[in-house]
Amino acid sequence: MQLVAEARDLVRTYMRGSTEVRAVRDVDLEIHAADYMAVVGPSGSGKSTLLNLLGGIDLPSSGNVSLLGHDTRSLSDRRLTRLRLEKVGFVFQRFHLLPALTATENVELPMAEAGTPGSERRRRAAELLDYVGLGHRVDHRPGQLSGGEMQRVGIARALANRPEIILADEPTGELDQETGGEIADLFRRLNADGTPLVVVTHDPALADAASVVRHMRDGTLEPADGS
Amino acid sequence: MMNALSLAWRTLVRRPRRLVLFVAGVTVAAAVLLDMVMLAAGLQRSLSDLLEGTGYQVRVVPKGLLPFESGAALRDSRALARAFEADERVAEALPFWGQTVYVSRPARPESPIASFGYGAPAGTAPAVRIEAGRTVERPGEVLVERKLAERLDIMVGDSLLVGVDPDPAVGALRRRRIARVAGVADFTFAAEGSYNVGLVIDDMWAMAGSESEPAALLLVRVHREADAYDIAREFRERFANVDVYAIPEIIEAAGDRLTYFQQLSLVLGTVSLGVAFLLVTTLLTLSVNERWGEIAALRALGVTRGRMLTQVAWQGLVISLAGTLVGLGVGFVVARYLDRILTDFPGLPSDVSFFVLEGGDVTTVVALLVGTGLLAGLYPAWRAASVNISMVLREEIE
Repeated sequence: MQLVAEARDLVRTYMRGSTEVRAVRDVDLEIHAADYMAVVGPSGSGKSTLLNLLGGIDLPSSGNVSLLGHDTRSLSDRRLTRLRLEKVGFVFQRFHLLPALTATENVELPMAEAGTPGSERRRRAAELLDYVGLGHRVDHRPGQLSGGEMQRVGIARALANRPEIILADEPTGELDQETGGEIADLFRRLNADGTPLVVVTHDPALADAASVVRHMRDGTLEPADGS
Repeated sequence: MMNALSLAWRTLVRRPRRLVLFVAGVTVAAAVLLDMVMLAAGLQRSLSDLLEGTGYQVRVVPKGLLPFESGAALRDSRALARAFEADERVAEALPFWGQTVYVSRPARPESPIASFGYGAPAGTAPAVRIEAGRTVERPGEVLVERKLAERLDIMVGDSLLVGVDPDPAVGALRRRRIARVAGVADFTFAAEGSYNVGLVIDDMWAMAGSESEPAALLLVRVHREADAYDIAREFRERFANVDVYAIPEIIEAAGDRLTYFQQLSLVLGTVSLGVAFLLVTTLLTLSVNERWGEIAALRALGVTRGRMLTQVAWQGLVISLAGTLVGLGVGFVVARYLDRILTDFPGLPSDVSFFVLEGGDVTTVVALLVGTGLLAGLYPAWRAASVNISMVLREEIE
């Protein structure tokens, strides 16, 4: 099966004040085209750092990340940014929608950055909002949407440029249990429709929806079940 | 909707009250800057327009002085004028003399009104706009300023008592004559609050008891194709005992004595630009700091550093442009108000202005403030473009 992202001997350290923090230690990981992987573990275990490294928004201190065949450390900031724009979809815990833009405009944003023509942007944004169940809220601004609705807009935005992988960092962290369950259903549907997903989460419902669950502790990825 | 300008505007209006306050600050800075640009050369431009408007392109004055700068006079001015008129490029040279005269209705000689009397050769009308009648064409005639005619309730054809040297004991004029009102006019160089009359220069000399035919200056009109600047230069060399100026040279000489206006304008204009710079930088830095997580997320989604930089720079441009547009209007109104105050100073021609707007001034102010807005946006734009994405996203949820 096609390899979408791969980490080898991955290490990420950073300084917090005068203390060196080893957030990710010697991690090896493969993500394939049909995977829906949940990375779980206690707070501070390095899950988000690992996700950032896989998505090319952070670079390893040592080791390598291959994202869709590109070594992230060998790419310039410009090329890495372009790779994220075109091939990776990000979903954030705090949604990070632009408050001044409508749901449609927020979804259009990555497409506009990629140079997609306006008419095609609008058509696809409407299609994606419909897909996430927000066809009736297209002209609403984030301030007029519930947390669950905002996260659905965030997911539609992540899908805008037809990414080859979706990376979600605690996507239900700000939502109640019922809404979190709806997002888990949406992710399951997304994966069934062919999009590989890596989700960092504390939410058991979201982890249960994944086909692979990996545990992280103290920056280290525990061996996969059955390995 | 998705262009950079629209996005910049919509980002700014998320906090409308704060935006209004900062734009108001830039508005004040723009208004001050416009006023200072208008003031820096306003008086010189205004004087230049006034002098050019008389139709005489060259002035001849006593050595070392500017026109009417002191009571010093050119002697034998009629002969001097003829010497200038001998040059074929000169169309006309007029001796021009001014002194305080007193006027009254002949029936009420005990209460004369102090006026400034201008004397020029008969039949000429330099620096006046005739409103009724005609100019003085022979001795014994007087041209009266309109507001004086209204005060004395006289009209063309009436008689007027004109004289000098009032006797403080009895209030009467020691040397006086009856003159017929030939016309009513507005005087170009009339000062606010003063009255003016025009006489044939021979009458002025006779009343003053002067036999040396003095003149404060000669007004020289050159033929259309002649170059006033060249003529002035040549005449300076030929007539060593007088100074000869083309109008631009007078303006330049006057400008040397008005440098404090330029210095004031430079200082206040620079301060206003500094204030605009600080306002825009402060607002954009606040905005970037508040949107730290949002900016990191946008970068994560694939928005380039260049695009982030441009977006913040656009915000600086929007604030400075909005403030400048409103400030231009405010500055113009304030300049009119200040001009009224300053031109009320005694002794200044009422047609002179301290604040003069020329087309290039608006361009200068807009260019300076837009440039300042863009410069002011550089630091916050650089901060936005160089955000550490993973660190900000991590700190956001910790």
